[in-house]
Amino acid sequence: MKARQGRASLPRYLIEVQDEERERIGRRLHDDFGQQVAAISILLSTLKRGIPNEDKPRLEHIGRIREKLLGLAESMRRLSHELDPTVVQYAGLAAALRMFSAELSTNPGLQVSFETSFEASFEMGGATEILPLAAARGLYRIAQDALRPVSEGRLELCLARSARGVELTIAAVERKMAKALSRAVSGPALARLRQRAAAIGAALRISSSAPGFRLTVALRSKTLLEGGL
Amino acid sequence: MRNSILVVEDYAELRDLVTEILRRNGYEVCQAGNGAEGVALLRRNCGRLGLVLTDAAMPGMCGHALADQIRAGQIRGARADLKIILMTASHETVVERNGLTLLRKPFTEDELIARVREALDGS
Repeated sequence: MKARQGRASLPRYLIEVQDEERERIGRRLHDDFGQQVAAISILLSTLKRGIPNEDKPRLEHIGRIREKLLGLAESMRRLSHELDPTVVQYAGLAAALRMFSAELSTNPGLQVSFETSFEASFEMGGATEILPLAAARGLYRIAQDALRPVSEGRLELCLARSARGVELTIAAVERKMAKALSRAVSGPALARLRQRAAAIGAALRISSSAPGFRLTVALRSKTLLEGGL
Repeated sequence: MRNSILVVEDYAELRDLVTEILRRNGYEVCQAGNGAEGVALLRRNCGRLGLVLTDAAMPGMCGHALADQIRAGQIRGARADLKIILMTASHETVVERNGLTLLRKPFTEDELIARVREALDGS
């Protein structure tokens, strides 16, 4: 019996270990590499101030280095956020999901819209004051895992209050996109999403009716903090 | 008082660079390596500081928590409406809620001084 329980909990354990490792790398990217880039940027700007305005080639050269540095910083920021969802803690779940949607929509051919029915309460109080932080991070990770493999099409992401609690919905309304999303959340990927949902006490539902596809993660009200929502 | 700035940054090289630039531009600067040290310095300086320039993400007490404590009037001697600039590499959305000024990393010397002047001139 014990051995069976151990096997059943193994995938969740592996997901936790992998998440911890990703978060460690994400923090390192932000706290160490990001700080070094910030220091180089300041040093570069100090160097630029010492160059006379007439020396246009050198000024242009420094300008190009700075552009590269900004590009590097942006790439590092994106990767860091992808690996470590600390943004959920600082900005709240709704804001974090909106940023994530906007970031995905920068990919050519991919358009992810985001809607929430209780924007005001999330923005005013911060999602983590309404949802336990672990639940907010869990929902964010589910959105990440489901949407990352999708590379083109139009998707709708929605965070809404339901009769029983909170629901996160990812929906594709076009046939081609529905196929891509159903492929992205099938097999081991679906098992992983179910484990993530179970870890925060949520239920995961998939409904497929041509031409659409919908994935819903429902978090019951008992999981929410008292006085929230 | 108006020209006194508390710099809170855990990365020593960046903290020293920022301090050097601010001093070169005529500001008085004291330094802290994290939020808790920042709180201690705020208590010790009892209202003599005009601005707190803090990193957002730091081990222990982060810049957000430090700003929240200041705004809530929980730090003895520090005004709740003290000017605060948050240095961050993230696309923060929470900052406007607390009336903070944002300085996106990586920034230049000119951007740093411009933000500091804006914050202090607005007081």
